[in-house]
This record gives sequence, C-alpha cells and structure tokens, in this order.
Amino acid sequence: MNNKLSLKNINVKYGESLALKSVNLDIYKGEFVVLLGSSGAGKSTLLRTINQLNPLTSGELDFFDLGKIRNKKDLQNLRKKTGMIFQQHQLIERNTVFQNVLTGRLGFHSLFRSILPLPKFDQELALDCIDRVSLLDKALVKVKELSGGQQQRVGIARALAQNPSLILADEPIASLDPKTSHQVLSMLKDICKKDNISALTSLHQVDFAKEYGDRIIGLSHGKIVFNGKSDQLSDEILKNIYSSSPITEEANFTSNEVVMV
Amino acid sequence: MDKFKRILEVERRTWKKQFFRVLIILIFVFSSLAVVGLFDFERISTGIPAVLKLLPEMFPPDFSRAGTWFKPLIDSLAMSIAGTSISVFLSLLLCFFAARNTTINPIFYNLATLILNVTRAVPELILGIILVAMIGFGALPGTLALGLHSVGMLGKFYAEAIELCDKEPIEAARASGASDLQVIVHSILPQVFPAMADVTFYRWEYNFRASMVVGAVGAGGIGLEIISALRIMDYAQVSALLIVVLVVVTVLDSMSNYLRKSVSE
Repeated sequence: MNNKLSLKNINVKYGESLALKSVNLDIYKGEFVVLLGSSGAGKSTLLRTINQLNPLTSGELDFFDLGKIRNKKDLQNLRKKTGMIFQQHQLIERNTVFQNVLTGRLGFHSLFRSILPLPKFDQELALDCIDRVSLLDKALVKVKELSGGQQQRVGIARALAQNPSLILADEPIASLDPKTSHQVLSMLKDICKKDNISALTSLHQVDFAKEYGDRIIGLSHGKIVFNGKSDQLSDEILKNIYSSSPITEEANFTSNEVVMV
Repeated sequence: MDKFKRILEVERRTWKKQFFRVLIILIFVFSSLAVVGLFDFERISTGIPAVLKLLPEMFPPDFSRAGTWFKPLIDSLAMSIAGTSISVFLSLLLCFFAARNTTINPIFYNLATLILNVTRAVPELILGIILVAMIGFGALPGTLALGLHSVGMLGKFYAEAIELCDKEPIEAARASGASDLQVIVHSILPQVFPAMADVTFYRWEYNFRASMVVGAVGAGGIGLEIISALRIMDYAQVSALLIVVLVVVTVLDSMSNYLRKSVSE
C-alpha cells in the first residue's frame, strides 16, 4: 500500500532551457499542498508534469497505489485518478453544468459508450458532486450564464466526478475577487479533507497559501527552494522564492502581498 | 435520490429530443440518397463495366499537345485573378450597406442584400452562357461571370465579418471624435481585414476551378481544352489535362495558404 505521490529527480527541458531542475517531492494521502513562485518559476510546468500534459525529460513518478508510471496504460490510469482544475476553468461554456461535470466521467467509458447517455451511477455521481459545490439548483443552467466563482466550482465538481486520488489546481483563484477566492479555496480544501484527496494547488497570494496550505512548496527558476509548514515561511525565504533572477535586482514586495508583474 | 430525480428527468428528455432531431436529419439524408438513385444497385452495377472500359483509355496520359496548353492555362489563371478582383471591388462597395451595424438605412440594407442574393442565386455557368451570348466568346465573358457570381458570396461574408466585429474599439474611435467614415476605415477595417483576406483567397482558389466550368461554354481558358478533348473522346488527352489542372490547383492551394497565414499574423 503506497500512501504518497513521489516525484524523483524530475527534469523538464523546453528546447535548451531547463524548466524544472532535479525536483524531488512527496505528497501524502489527504495532504493539501500549496505551490508558490513567481510567474515563469515553473509552477504550471510542475503541475502539468505530474499528469504529463507536459512530457518530462527525465525522472520518475511514483503514484499512490499505481506505483511507478512506466507506460501509456499507467499514465491513462494516473490521469483517471487525477482531477485537474484550471485558472480559466476550461469548461464548455455553451453546455450545462451537468454536461460539463459528466465529462469528468469520460475516462471510465469507451468512445462508443460515451456517445449514449452515461449509466445512472455516473449521472448520480455527477449530480452528487454538483450538490457538494452547492450548485444543484444550477445543474441545468449553461456555464456561460454563471459567475466566475460559480464556474470555478463547476471545475471543482468536474474534477471531483473522477473520484480522484489527487487534485491538481493551476492558479484556481487567479481571476476571482478575494471573497470568492476564500469561498472556492475553503470549499476545495474541505472536500479534499473529507474524501482524503491529496491536492497540489499553485497560488500567487502568499496570505492565501499560509491560510490554506498544510505544507508550502516554494519554486524559483525551476528549483524547489522551500518545502515546509507555513509558519516556517519567513520574509527571508519569501524573498528567495520571489527573487526575479539570481543576477538582476530582486522583486519588490511587502511581507504577505506579492505584486505580480 | 429524490432531489436528483427532476434533473435526471429533464436531462433524459433533452437527450430524447436531440436523438429525434438527429433521426429526422438522417431520414432526410437517406431519402435524398435514395431519390438520386444511389441505392439503385442495378444501375450502379451496370456502370462499373463502363468505368472499367473507360479507365484504360485514359492511360497513358497524352501530353503531346501540352505546348498549346500554356496560353489557355494563363487565360484561366488571369480569369480567376481578374474575376476575384472585380468581385472584391464590388463586395467592398456593397458589404457596408449589407451589414446591419454600418448600413445607412433599411432601404439600402435591403437593396444591398437583394443584390447579393441575386448574384449568388444565378450560377456562374448560366451567367457565362448569357454573357457569351451578349459579348461573344473569350476570356472576358468568363471573367465577368466569375466576378459577378462571386460578389454574392464574398459580399455576404464581408458583411457578416463586419457585423461580428467588436463594438468597443468602434466606441473608442467615436469617442475620440472620428467621423463615421473614419470609424469604418480605422476601426472596422483593421478588425475584419484578416477574415476578409481569408475568404478572398478561398474564393480565388474556387474561381480558378470555376473558370474551367465557364470555359466549357465558350468562355476560354483550360476548360475549353478539356471540353474539346472530351467531345472527340480523346480520354488520354483529358487525363493529361486533368493532371495539369491538379498540379496548378495544388500550387494555388499552397500559395493561398501561405498568403492567408502571412495576412493573419
């Protein structure tokens, strides 16, 4: 019984430049981990490397019960067990909430089967997920008619419909106002805790990271420069995470608010 | 689960409705195929031996008269370019009247759309026959036929592109004191130019192929050569001509792809 996701010595190359440099990371079952780093530090790359939307150049992935990811079949299984939440929610806007959440079940059926209405089990599971993000009364409404926060909750429901072991969230609150951000993040965390789902969430608000993260990972220039509890996150370390480049001048920031450039 | 019941019920009904829509479309598709005789297996089976007899006659392609094809080929190319230019000119004049957001008043709008509909409704082949009867054989009636028929499609697409363009930059231009014509030139045109260029190049390609059709009714170009070879049942020459056309169309296609890409960048 393997109770963690392990990234071992992961390198990712884009052309000549290294986007991730020998990243080693463990994420335990049910742990809510937040990823911090400035734009271009490699946050998205790290998230997308775990489900290999970005191919990894070298290194090894060890995924909970699946073990080592060796081939396409393993990867397919990993993706089935991994829900992803995107900044721009990436929903089909002209479809209803229900139809969008049902796409989370696609990986469990063949192409032919998925053209017909999915089994009752899948439909009820999808509705249950919609209920958990408190959108049941909007289930038959088109996604484009919802607010930004509601759309992101649909994104969470879609990820949840996969019955995932892991949720990857790529700046899920970047286009939301602070109040809605709190709603969305606390909803995500509550659900993950209740279902014992591990989560890796990239954020660019340090105060949100401190409030919600069981553990914080600081990424700078493709390297992990911090890995610890939020109370260990000192100003000195933050400065290190958000240093714009080893040579050029360092970014300006106040202790818990980072100005994005 | 009771609270899901209503949603599942609605979803089931939506799916049923969708299913019946597809079913109706399929009924139309298959009855059309039946009407045109595609399911008339007897007729199709008698056609196969005829094809098998004809095909060997097309091989090997006879390029012996290839030297005389240059002039008609150039004619066809010139017809497609000249015809497309004429239609672009006329479409640019008409499209602003035919777009709801730039037209002057409903009378002009209806008049412009009427002209576009009429030119689109008359096929270039019919236009070609009429124009050949009016001004005699040659590339000129063919060019005019292509140009006039293309206006219907190009003008409509231009007008639709104008109707779809973003209102915000137009408002900004107006707010800075630009006149109506300045708004069109400096705010609408830059937005719609890539879309316009796109359909124009498609139309150019189409017009080259259409030039062969109008050529067949005496409007010059490579189409006249093909129809002449067909009349004397010289199928080896027909296949050679078709190969030449295929090469030219392929070159035109990649050229128009390249041009479209460079415009939209």
